[in-house]
Amino acid sequence: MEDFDQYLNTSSNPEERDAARQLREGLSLLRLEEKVKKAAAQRVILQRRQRWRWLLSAAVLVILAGTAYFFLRGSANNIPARDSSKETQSPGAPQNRPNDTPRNPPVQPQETPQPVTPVKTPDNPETRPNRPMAQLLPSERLAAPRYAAPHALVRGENSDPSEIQTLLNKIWYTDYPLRALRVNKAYITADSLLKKRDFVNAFIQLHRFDTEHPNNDTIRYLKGYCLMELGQGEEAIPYFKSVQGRLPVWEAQLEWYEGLSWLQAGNTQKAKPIFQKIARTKQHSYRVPSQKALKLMK
Amino acid sequence: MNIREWFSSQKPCKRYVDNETLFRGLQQLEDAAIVCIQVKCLPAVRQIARGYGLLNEAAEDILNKSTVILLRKIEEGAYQFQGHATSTYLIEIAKRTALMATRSKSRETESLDDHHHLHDESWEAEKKQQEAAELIRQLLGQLGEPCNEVVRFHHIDGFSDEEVVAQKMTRYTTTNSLKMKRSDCMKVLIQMAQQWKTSINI
Repeated sequence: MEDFDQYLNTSSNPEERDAARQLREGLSLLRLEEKVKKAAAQRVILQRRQRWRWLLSAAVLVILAGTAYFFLRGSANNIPARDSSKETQSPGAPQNRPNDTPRNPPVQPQETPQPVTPVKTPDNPETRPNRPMAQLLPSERLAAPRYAAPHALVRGENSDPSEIQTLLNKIWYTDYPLRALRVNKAYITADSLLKKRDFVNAFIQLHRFDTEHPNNDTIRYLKGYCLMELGQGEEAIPYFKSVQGRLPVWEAQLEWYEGLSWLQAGNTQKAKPIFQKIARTKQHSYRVPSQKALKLMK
Repeated sequence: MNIREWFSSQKPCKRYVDNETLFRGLQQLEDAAIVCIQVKCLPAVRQIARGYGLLNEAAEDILNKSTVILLRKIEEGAYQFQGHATSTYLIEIAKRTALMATRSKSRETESLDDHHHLHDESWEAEKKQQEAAELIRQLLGQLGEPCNEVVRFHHIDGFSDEEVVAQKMTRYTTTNSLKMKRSDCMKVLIQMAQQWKTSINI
């Protein structure tokens, strides 16, 4: 302000001094206005930048959340949906089962089968090469059965077919697809038929594979399973026997199925020791149904 | 500005950790301090403006006018730091400025008795100073170049003579010649102001 000071000191005219003072005040105010205008412009830029930062952060968050959602959904799709009714459904025959003759066709299931998707477990066949396509580890939990026992073609001379059928209805415990089943492309048709519980056509399909690839354990196992589900336990036994001891992971289920097959065949004498053996084995997946079977067989 | 700068811009109030630091910053007319106090007060000023039925643009204007008043009061020593938040004082100024703006907007329809509290001396002085500033802005325009920029660079933009010469902002290559020219220009400006005052009195 040296200009003003100089002017105010040199000029003696009061009017001029007054004008200079007013001018100084006005210029000072203008200076402040300019300063504030400049700061306001900076503030607007800053706020705009902050707004963009927020928007970008929000966009990044949305993208991350979306990616996580799709990733998790994708993972969830790989895990088979567990039917909660399985946990509470007791094994055995349905309540309203008609008391018809053994030759009648088996009751068609009311429920739709679940899709075949392997469980992502450390013992999953997909994660371990050279494992059979159908297996159940002894430590694995037993899935609740969804279907009633087929009408067995009881052939035993010493057994009452209706008694056997009643027993089978109470203890019938099978499930397909197996929890650790891996289906190769070649078996897709058979697998699909088995899921539809079309055991006759599934057996035909498996039989065709059996001629093309003889001594295939999985085919023989599934053929035995088909025959058992068709009520032809006696025919199923040789298939089960032929694959016994081949793979430890099959053993538990094979033993149980063999026991059921002997019952279907009307041979309780052969079935009983098998159930007793299972019932004695603490870690056996079929221990509880075997104990139940033994109790009912007394 | 590159992306790095864009992302690394700091919060405006980061430097001003307490009320006193902010006050000192405002006293020194630091840009960052002005930005800080404006950012702090803008939401409240917007609310005030809404309360008076004014638009968001008016809120910006009220905030800027109020900030000028605050800075002048600090400069004159009328407002001194006593431990309170300067932003609270600025909001109080903004309330009165908003009221003035409302008054000027509805002068024709409302009774002046409703705003009797506005007729205090300080607000009359504010008004007079704003009018004086507007007059000087006009006079500077009439002054023409190079006087306009010579006066403006020194008294309004706050450039030192050395800066003006070094950056060749005017045709004057030495600080002495620049000072002499500015002195002449100021004389002319004072004469113009005097003439204007006389014409008003007549």
